[in-house]
Amino acid sequence: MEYPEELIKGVPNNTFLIDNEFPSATLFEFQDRARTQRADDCTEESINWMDDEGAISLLLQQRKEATGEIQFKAGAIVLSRDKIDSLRAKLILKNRFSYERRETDGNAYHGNLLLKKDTPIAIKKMLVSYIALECFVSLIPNDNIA
Amino acid sequence: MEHTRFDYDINNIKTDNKSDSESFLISVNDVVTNSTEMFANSSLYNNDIVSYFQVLPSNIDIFREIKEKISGINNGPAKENAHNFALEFQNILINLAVRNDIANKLPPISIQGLDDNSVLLEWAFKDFRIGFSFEANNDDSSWFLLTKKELKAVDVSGSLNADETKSLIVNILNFVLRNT
Repeated sequence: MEYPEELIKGVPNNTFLIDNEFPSATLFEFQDRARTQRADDCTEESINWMDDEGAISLLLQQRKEATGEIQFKAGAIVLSRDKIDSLRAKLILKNRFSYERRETDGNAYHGNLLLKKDTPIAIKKMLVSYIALECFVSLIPNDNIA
Repeated sequence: MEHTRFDYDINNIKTDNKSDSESFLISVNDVVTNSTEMFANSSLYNNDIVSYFQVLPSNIDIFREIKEKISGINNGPAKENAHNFALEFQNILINLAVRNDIANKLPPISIQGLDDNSVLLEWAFKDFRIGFSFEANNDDSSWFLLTKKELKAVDVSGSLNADETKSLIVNILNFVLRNT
């Protein structure tokens, strides 16, 4: 499977940003949602692979099904796959942290960051902070917000 | 706990371009016992030992976000542990009476209640991040300090053991003041 150099993560609102500029670790918190039970015993966090610019426009135009509101009002965070790979190579994360491409209806760019459910809490918390600190490339504001 | 415990001195992680860094090294034992006397003459602290909160306007109080948001967090035991930790942190800062011009450079500590019933205090800087994660079971609570490659790409972490809280806060403050 081929992956582009960058990936993006939608930012629901400014509470997930620090100084309206940098991502908070909480943006990347892996959630053990009932709807995402997987055979590989991982928790997942949605991302879009930056195959082309269409990944950004699709993400930033995404609307909540229930209300029709723009979903990612605070824009999108661009992450470096190379830095993600560096994290994956760390001893304490080896065989725990990975990613995948998983298209969904209407979103060919969709994928997930994956973390094994049995990862100790302290490592989970450190990982999401590391993603926020080390893998962050830029913040793309959402111009679709009036 | 399975995660690696890094016991080395986090104050060894520092850049080489901090001119007056050596002048404010804080001894953990000194702070715990009698900090005001020890730091009265340091260049980083107010000689008259005025309270941190008397000195600082609210817009440069590093706890301002915690004060604003903690009432809206409902993660019971984790919230209480986070609150107690913040109070201890505050007391140490009051004792140290960090100078205004230095305190002014410190970003606020953010607080978030997470869906897993934990509470995260996050102190984010350009080249490093510090996190204090409080869990429903306090034995699982932890701290970490992560740096970019500009600061040698170090990750340090450990359990949030109440007996070592003061020394942890002092060591982390030393690191922050050296690298801010």
